[in-house]
Amino acid sequence: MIERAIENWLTNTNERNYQVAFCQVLLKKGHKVIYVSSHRPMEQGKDIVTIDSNGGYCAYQLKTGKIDLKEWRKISGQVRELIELPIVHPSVDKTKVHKSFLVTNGEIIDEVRIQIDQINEDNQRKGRGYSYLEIINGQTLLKEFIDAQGKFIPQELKDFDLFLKLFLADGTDFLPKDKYFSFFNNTVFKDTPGQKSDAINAISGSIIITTYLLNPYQIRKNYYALFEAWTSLAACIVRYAQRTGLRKEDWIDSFNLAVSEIVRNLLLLKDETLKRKDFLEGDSLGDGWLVYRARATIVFGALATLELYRHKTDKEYIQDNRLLELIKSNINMLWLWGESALPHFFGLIKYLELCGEYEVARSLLNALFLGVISSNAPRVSVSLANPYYSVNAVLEAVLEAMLGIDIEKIDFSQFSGSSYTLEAIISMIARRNEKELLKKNWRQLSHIAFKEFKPDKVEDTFAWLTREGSNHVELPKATQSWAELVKEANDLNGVPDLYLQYSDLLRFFILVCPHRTNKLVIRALDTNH
Amino acid sequence: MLPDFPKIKEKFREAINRYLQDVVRQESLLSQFRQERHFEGNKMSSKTEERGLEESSYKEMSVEYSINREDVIMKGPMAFIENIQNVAEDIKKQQANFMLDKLKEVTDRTGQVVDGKGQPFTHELFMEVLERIQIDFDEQGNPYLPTVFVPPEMAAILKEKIPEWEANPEYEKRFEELIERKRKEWNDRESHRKLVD
Repeated sequence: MIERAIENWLTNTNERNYQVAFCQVLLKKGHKVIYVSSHRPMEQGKDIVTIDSNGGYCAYQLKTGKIDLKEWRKISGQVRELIELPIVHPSVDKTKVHKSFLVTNGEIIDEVRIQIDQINEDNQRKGRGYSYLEIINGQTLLKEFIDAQGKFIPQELKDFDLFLKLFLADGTDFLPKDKYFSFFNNTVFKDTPGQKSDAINAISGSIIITTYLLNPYQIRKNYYALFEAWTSLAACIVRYAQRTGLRKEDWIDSFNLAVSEIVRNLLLLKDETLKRKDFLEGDSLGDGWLVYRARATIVFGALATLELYRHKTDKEYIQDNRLLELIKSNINMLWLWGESALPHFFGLIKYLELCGEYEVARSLLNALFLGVISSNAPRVSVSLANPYYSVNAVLEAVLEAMLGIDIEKIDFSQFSGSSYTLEAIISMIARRNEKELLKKNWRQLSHIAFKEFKPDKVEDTFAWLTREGSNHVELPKATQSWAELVKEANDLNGVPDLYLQYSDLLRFFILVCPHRTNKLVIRALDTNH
Repeated sequence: MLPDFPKIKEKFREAINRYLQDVVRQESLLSQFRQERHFEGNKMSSKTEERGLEESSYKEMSVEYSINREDVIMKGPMAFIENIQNVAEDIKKQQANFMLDKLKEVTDRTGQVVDGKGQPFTHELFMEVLERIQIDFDEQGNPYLPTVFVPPEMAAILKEKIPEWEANPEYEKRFEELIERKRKEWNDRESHRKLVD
């Protein structure tokens, strides 16, 4: 059954969507992946470059569907680049000839195979020093993927049901994150095996499973849901690696593949966003107003976070003014629907600061702060929902109450007098030396209790929910020293190493799991380290 | 199996559950307390300047009840709804006892207990109770007067006595003086709520 699912996905998907699974197959065979093309056109005919277990260089060009003579003629220029041009990469010795592979998820007809044989023979006979071209077709890929997935198939019926629900989703909604985390934690990452190799196989298997499990979202080009899925998987991998005590070198390559998919999908989301005249989506009945503003906030927050990531990881990063202008011109569309919006606002504030738009960033942070302290003051009847309530839950409650369809599902008065995000926001303001803003509002904010969930194990920060931990509440100090506040806000000593080590993932993770945002996470991401 | 109607039943279950919660929350004591759902974790903690860190665990409250098959056959969901009142009463009792125990625990610890020593509830005693309570005020200076939880027999007495006390100019004056004192205490507390160097 699972094999049929993989086959069905593989025959209907495109090269961009099976690329990461193929990389994982290569990693499992002992290759070191040194280059994976992003969503841009490939460079010099090479989508993937690896160094195999014997130290040989390998270059792969990935295609979709059947390669007949007509298709072959169409791609022959790219194939020539693949075999003739050397690999340009700092880790590659250009004097050595690489091996070339033409990969497709369909079949390669015999006439094309014969032509490839002739090209290889001719190049060898004439001593051209070009690379030898090998082919990998859909049948070979299918076998490789099934082998790489290993034994990690749902054993329990309820997990199988979960698998089917995810695999057969219509792909237009957000990722059902609770189900997704449950699926992985009940199957692939359920056990902490005694054998190190089993734990490593679990991680590599998870990449393959995710690739085809996301088929409905790939078909719909639902890049935000795909971003959510790869981010969740990367988080599951970090947590599992900590639990099993694996050495980083045993799993980091698989983790990096997941991160590359996070980035790729956000880049695709960015391309689409920049092309749009407005941000309406799907059926316009029910769209607009709060739905529209929620969408804008989510998308801009995610894209701002992407830019922050790229700035940190890419030395040649160039600021994208198109995105900056789009965000600035839509700044009034942003909507603080609840405390689960904080990570999106945080990303936007940091991005605006990165672009030198300090005044806009400052007013956004001030608005966020004043919004939280006024909405969540004691005895307010409609407060901001805590970060456990998603934008969907808030929208549903608001719209149902407005239309009188049902009784309100969320009692918004329960959130008054407390906040999960206020302490982090205060720290952000303190780090920016905005003493007057806090001084003016300290009396008011000191009535609002700081809330936080503290997991017993730090790696459970990367879990969707965990049973082991404490729901903590603490009132701000009535009389607070500014000097102490600033000192604490900048002190990284209290921040767990895990947060600092995986801060790049954490940046994306809090967008996906906003209830994991707390003052220490924000401190790790807000301070330069 | 025989044909079933799981989706319809799920709707009934949800509706009955919601009805049960509504009935429980209508209880006068419980309706004064705010409810909040916790999604994860197995304990709670709080930290105050006075008492430092305190941890507590969750307490399960449950009620067992049975309905005979004949009733289910004849009455359907109504058989459950008829029983819900008993279930709700039981849950209310458990929750109310738990709340009162917690209140007692806190007031014992903070020394906010006024012992009437079996004497009738007088205006003197009432004022003494108010003296021990911290009262907050709104921005216009109006007090958020506390809710008083008393047994039903005491409620009947208070219902009779409060109008008498309100009509007594001396008592009224003492009450106003107390509120003024509380207002000063509040202003004093609020003046300490500040960011200092």
